[in-house]
Amino acid sequence: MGTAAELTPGASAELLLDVMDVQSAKLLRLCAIPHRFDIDVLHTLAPELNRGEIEDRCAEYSRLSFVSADADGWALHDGVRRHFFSQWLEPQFTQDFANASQRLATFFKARMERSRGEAAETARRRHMFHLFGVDQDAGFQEFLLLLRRARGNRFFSESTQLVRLVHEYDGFLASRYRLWLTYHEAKLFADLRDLERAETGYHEVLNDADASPEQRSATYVRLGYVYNERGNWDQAIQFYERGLALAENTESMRHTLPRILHDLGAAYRDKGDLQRAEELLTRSVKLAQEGNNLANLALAYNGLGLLALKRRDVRAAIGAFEKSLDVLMRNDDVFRTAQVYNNLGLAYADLPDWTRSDEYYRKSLDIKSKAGDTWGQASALNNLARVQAARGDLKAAIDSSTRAIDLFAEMRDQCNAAIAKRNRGKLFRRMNEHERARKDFTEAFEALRTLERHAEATAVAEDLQALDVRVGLPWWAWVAIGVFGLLVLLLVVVLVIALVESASHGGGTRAFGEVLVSVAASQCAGHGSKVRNVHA
Amino acid sequence: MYTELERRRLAEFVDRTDELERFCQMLESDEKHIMIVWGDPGMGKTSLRLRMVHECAQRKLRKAEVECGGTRTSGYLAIMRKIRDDVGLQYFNPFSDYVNYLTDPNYQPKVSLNINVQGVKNVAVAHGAQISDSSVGDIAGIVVKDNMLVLPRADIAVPEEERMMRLTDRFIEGLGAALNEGKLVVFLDGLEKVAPNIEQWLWQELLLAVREGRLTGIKFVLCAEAPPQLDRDWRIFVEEAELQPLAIEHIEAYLGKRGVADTLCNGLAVYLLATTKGKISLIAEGVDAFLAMQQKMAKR
Repeated sequence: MGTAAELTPGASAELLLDVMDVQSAKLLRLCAIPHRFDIDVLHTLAPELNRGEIEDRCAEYSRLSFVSADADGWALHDGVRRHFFSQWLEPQFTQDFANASQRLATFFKARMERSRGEAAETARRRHMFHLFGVDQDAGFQEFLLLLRRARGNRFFSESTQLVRLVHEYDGFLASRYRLWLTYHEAKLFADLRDLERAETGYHEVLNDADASPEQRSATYVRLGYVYNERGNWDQAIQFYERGLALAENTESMRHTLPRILHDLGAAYRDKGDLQRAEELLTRSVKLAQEGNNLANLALAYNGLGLLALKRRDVRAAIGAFEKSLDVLMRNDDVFRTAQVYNNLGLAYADLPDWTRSDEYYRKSLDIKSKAGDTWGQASALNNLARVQAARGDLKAAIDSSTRAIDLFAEMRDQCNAAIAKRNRGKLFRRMNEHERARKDFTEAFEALRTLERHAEATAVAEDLQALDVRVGLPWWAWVAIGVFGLLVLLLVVVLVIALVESASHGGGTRAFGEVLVSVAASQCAGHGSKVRNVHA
Repeated sequence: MYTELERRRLAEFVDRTDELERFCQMLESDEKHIMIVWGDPGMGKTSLRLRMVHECAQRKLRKAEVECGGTRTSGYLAIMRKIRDDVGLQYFNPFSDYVNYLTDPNYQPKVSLNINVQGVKNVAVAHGAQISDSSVGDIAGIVVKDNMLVLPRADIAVPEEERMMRLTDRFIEGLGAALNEGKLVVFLDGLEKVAPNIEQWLWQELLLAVREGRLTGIKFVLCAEAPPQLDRDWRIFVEEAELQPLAIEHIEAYLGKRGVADTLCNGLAVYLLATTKGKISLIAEGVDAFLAMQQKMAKR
């Protein structure tokens, strides 16, 4: 409680509770356990009171300045609630707090089961929160379940909310849960691309003497991801290896080995140490096979495929991608096959086998279309356009390219839309449709310059310049070139006639042929080896 | 309509004249469309919001109120749903339809969704419905009910970024239709409790539509504990109001409104100012305790 000299939130509320009826004061303190309360929640907190008494209490509480109301019921002001809630976490109230939490957890579980959608989700969150007050193990398991689901759906606001709720038990949490909470919060920062705060959180876990080998191993791997994101392969490898060493020596972490090996292998691959990458990825495959860990097995095969592509061993890459595909099919993981089909398209394009490449890109496109992934479709169409162009079907390539541009624009991905536009410009150039090519190059250049993608913008500017050199001469220059050409031709004819005439005085048919070749060769000297060969 | 509690709070409201004036100016002019009210916890943000809502009611302006934090869902979808429900479902058919499509595998879309999903590209409009010629997706006389589901259906895999973008586009479209029928004020309280990506969404998607003039006739009031980091381009559009502690005369006025005897007002006000540093929530709690004690002593 605060002193008279410096009131803190809740201190005046304490004074008020002192002059309140004992039962009312007790119930008001209980109201700080849930975040909000209504008549049903109050009845759960005080089952000994009848409905009429509960309604009287509600009317009484709503007169207090630190109680706010809305359509969902009432809530204590944040500061006052925090004050009372922190008191509940003190050891002398443990049993009373656990009893109240148990009643609330049961109440919200029932509410969760009889409602659906957003109402059920809110009830589930509240159930998880109160479960902590009863049994930390059960509460934390429920928290992890909700957090994994939220993370899987990329609902980062939901993840943030869950972490904040569990933080309300800071000081009450067992050290292993406190550390896991820090770890998951750091993971959330990494998801939100706040790598610095993620790194700080991970180091907090590692610097804690209470951190278990499981927590250390998982945290080292996560630090590896942070450095991987930053493109610092050496540092990433260092952290992955520390995580791997701990996981290898900890029985409960052995199931994580295939994934760590994959990530470490991928880091070595990106760094350029292909030999070491292969060893690690092969080990990842082996362990995933032994553990029947299909998701990681597919991932490891895909990793091997990418490695083989980097080595330009296209056949090996195709073999690995096909194995990955097979595992994904067995695991009913349809949407993830789109990426592997895409990689197969890439590999066949490297052969080059345009027919198969086309086929796999189309499969990838088909799955992304079924998934409703517009950006994925745009990307697949862009790849497809390249294959169609390579096959010489420029019309189809332009069509695919146009669809890709439209979809990227729909997704407000101005950068990829500009790059796709540049590709389409090249196609128009090949078809000698220079005005349309110029329009695409110009638009791509403007977009990339606005987006400050200077390297790409410079490349497009060069395309545009090359186009100008080829087609950019004024009409009078073309006339001058034509006239000059005609003059050269006239000169050649005159020379030939003169030579023929002089030859007719001193040689036969054979000599005439030799002269003709020597004249032609003298005109083309320096333009082609073929002609020079003939002359020789 | 106000509850008894709200009526009393409004009657007890003191000070904040400057903030209210700026709010009224924003309502009347086209210069600024967003107001940020910020201050430490207990500085009276929620009370000021209530007073602003009252001002809207007096001016017969429509309003939507969103409170974030606690155990409530505070994602972008929940925020849009709350605004939609306050404004009127009828304007938001394409939005509600798309939410249902994304979350319910058995849902048959009722509006042409214009989405890039194989086999669903040209969804038939509900049987017997008439399509108005105003905009794609409108169905005259039909209000699409939101099933209020949250989790994405498992048989499709629309990326979260795409879901957010498309839902926001449809929501803005609906909000635009609602604004054709009059001005609207949206209050967002507890902004410090939303996740960073949601705050980013708010500024870069929803409020950007206001800044770019895609939404006109709408004003936003955001309440937070700290000021957002805004660049110069944004500051032109935003009215910022940092809540200051109450001065002695405001505490006296508050005590008067709470029914404290005139003879006690001055002394109690001095004591409250010294102990609370003018923080309204602490003053109010102190007065609650004082009045309860006074009542108890009177009974004796």
